[in-house]
This record gives sequence, structure tokens and C-alpha cells, in this order.
Amino acid sequence: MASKRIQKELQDLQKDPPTSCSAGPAGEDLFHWQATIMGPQDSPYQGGVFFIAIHFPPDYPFKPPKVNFQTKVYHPNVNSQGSICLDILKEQWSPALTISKVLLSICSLLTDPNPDDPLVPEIAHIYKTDRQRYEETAREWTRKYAMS
Amino acid sequence: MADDGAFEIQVRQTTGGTFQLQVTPNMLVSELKTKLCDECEQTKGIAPERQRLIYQGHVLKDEKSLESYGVKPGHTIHFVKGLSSSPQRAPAPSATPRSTTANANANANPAGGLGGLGGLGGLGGLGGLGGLGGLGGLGGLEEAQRLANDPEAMRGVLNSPMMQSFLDNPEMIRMVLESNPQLREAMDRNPQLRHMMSDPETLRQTMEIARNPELMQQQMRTVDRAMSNLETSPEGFNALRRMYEDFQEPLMSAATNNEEGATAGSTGAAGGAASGAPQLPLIPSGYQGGGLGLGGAGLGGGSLNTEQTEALSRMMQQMSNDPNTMRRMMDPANIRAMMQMQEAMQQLQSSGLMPQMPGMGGMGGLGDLAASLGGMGGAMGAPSANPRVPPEELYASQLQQLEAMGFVDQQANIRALSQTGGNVNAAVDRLLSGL
Repeated sequence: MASKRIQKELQDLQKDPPTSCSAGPAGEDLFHWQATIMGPQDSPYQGGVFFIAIHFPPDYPFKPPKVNFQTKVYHPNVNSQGSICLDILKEQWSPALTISKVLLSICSLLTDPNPDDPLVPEIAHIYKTDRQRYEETAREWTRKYAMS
Repeated sequence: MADDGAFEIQVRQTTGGTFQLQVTPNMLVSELKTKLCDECEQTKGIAPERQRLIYQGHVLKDEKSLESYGVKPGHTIHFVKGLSSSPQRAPAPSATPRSTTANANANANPAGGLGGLGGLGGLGGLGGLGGLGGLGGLGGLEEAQRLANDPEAMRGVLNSPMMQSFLDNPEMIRMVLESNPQLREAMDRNPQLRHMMSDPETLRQTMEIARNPELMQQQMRTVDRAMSNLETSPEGFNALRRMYEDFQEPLMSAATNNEEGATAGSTGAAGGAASGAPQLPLIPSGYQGGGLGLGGAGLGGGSLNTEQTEALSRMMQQMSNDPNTMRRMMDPANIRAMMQMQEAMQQLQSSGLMPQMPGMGGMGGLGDLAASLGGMGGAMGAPSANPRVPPEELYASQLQQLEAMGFVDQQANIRALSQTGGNVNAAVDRLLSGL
């Protein structure tokens, strides 16, 4: 069931992916994908291409996929290991969700960080108290890590 | 161009625009970038060095060909403009609404989804066995003959993808059989039956007979002759009559005692019984016994009786809407009654009453199974023959499941479901293979 579902998602993504995301198998293994997110236009991540690794559990879609940033991101909800703090990847996961929807949710998280549930409290603090400094640093990191 | 396998792909920009582009499989990424810079209106003047093309999460490398990345006709490549000081564009369509929907869906209980799937698998399997119910009807009953005389209907049942996939999957057959303790017991007692039920080859051969009207009629004539032989022996006649009284009646009452007379289980069982009863004065009792001896031939084969078609289609609707009916059909009381029939069969055989019918035991065993499942077979077969129920309603739960799995094209889903008799797994296969 899992591989059929993943194949179906791949088929949909090949034909009609979201504007800002792209994803597909990293190699031969259908359960290990690589994805890219194009930094949202209205965010300090604009122009950046962020790589993301996706691991599907054997009981996908009944368990959420494991999703990690592989590109360094300066963001309150993404730590230096690339872990993402996003409810739909944990307790709010639903089999009705797809990789496409997950990636779009990550895009919207880039645009609108959630500093009240931070993974990196320091960045969350700066985001809340000194928005300009946050944006500058995020832009700087994007240029440095996501544009080459 | 057509000679080198040219095809169209889509190029999607981060600003939201998408355009078509003709490429060839062996085109290098660097060539594509040049083409984008020189020929495409939307990306004109963007130097190849500043272009980043992304396909399936990978940034395409200049020196590789499109083919090596598996780019196929109609696929989409993302175009990202590198390091530039382009003015702020209108924000990309926000993903927020979509993720909200997703969150709303998150309330769906994953375990429930799983259970539903499992249940359906079981249904599909049992439906397949139900086809065997039709086979159980080989016993020379008029209904069975009618079924045999309507090769279209028979072939329809037997050639349905559901039936096929069921037969191709011995694991499924075993699962269905093992999940019922009574059936398991019957199989333990009758290893021949177990062998028959777990060997897809044997099943397929049996199906082959059923699929061929000539063969089937011949088979039935043979059984008829055997029956009349049995009837001429006074003891045989009595044994058959006793069997009728001792087993068909309790079966009927077991069925009608079921909590609701209208439940699928009782409709199936009682309907089958009824199909036998009115014929009592019309045909020699040997035939009756034959029907019984062959283990619920009436139950299995009777499903095409015009009188019951109505009831069956109702029952079918119920079945597709309510997994409980399934459980009721497998009610131990019903099964037990059928087990008794099976035992009677064995008794008859061991007492040497039926020596002239070597095939009977196996057939009885098969029919025994068919008796419990035959009604279902008729029921599962009914939807395609029942145009009154719109497929959206008929397959409501399956459609929901398919949607939950990410198949959002309802028309395609309905098509796949009606082609597979409502089997979600088979439908997914069809959808994926683009049929």
C-alpha cells in the first residue's frame, strides 16, 4: 500500500507540482526522497533553493514521513540539524496529507515563522524583538547556503 | 524533430507562471538553459549561469541529459533565477489555506482508515468465494441451469477483475478461510477441501468448467444421472429426504432466527432455502437432495432466481454500506447449520450410500463453503447488474478511502471501482497503471 501511495504522489508531482516545491526519489529507493523548496517571494528566503530529505515509513501514509532540511536555514522552527518543528509532521499528521501539502506547509512556515513554539529559542527571541535583524540574518544565510 | 523523440515539458517559474517547451530526451541541461535564455519569451535573457533548473527535488547538472533524470512528456521542471536583485514580485500563492484543509482532515482516524481497508480486502475475497457459490449450484437445480444458460452472467462474475485478483492471490483465499473457525475446522476435517481452496490452480480449473456453459451442463447432467441412480435405491431416497428435513429446516430457522429477518445473512440463507422449497412437488426429491447434498446449491446457485434478484440487490446495497451484515452472514449459527450438512455428506459417503459419486465429497465440501458465501457472491456480483444505484452511492466508502489515499479524480475513481467491483486495492492498481 505504501509504495502505491508514494508512486501516486510521485506521478502527481511530476505532472503538476506546486510552484514553489519539487520532490522525487533521491535514488533507486522509492522510500527515500529529495525535495527542494524555493524560498517564498515575500520572505527573506527569497531566491534560495532549500534541499530537504524525506524518508517514508513502511506504514506510510498512516505514519508521517520524516522530513529534514539539508540546507542550513536561519529560522525559529528549524534547528541546526535540519529538524523541523511542524505539527502536521507529528501529532497532527493525517493520511490525507501528501508530500506536496507538507512541502507547502513548510513554505508557509518559512513565510510565517511560529516563534511561540520554537525549536531554536534564540532565533525566536530575535524574531520577536528585532525583526529587522532576523530578516537580515535569514537573508545572509540564504545567500550563503541556498543560492550556490 | 519527431525523429529524435521530441516531446513537450512544462517549465514552472517561482513567480507562478508555467509554459510549454519542446525538448528531446538526449538534450543536455546546458542546451536546455541556452534555449530558455535565447528562445523563451518568459525567461529570455536570463543567462544560463543564472538559471537553476530543478526536477523532482534535484538541481539539474549542466553536463547531464534530460533523459538521465527521467524527464518524460508532460513533466514539470522548475525554473529558479539565481542571484539577482529582481524587484519584489507579487507574493507566491500562499500555501496557508491548503495546509488548513489538511489540518482539518487530520481528524480522520488513521487506524479507522486501516480497518476499513482490511475489511474491504475481506469483502473482496469473500465475493470471490461467492462465485464458488455459483459453482456449488452445479447440483442440477434449475437455478444453476439458468445461471449456466446465461453464459454472459456467469462469465461476468468469473471474469470480473475482483474474482481474477482473488484467484491470483492464494494468500487472500487462505486469509478468508482461516479467519472463520468453523470453516477452518471443516478444512481440517477435509484436507482435500483445504487443498482445493488453497491451490489457485485447482480453483482456476474449476472456474474454467463453470465459465464454459457446455462443460457445466455436461457436469450437471452427470450429477443428475447419479442422483436418479441414488433415488432408485430406497435407502438412498430416505437418506436424502432425512437430510432435507434434518438439515435444511434447521438451517432455515437458524437463518430466520437471526436478529432481523431482513439482514443480509438471513436473506441469503432463507432465500436459498426458499428457492429449493417450492420445487418440492415439481421435481423428484432426488433433485432436492442433490441440491442439498451438493451443499447449498440452492443457496449458491439460487442467487439468480428472478424472485430473489430484488432482495439480493437490496442486500447488496446493505452489504456495501454496512460491514456488519458481513459479520451476520458469518454468524456461527448459520455456519454451524451448514457444517451439519457437511457432516451429513460425509456420513453418507462413509456409509457407502454414495459410492457411485466419487466427486460428491469434494463438491459437497465446496458447496458447503459456497452455502455460507454464495449469497455474498450473488450480492457482490449484483452491483454491476444493478444500474439503479448510482456508483457514487454504491461505492461511497471506497471513494472516501481512495480520496484519503490521494486519488482525487472522482470520475476516475468511480470508473476504477466499478471495473473492479468495488475492490479498493484493485482500483488503486488500475488508477496507477493509468487505465
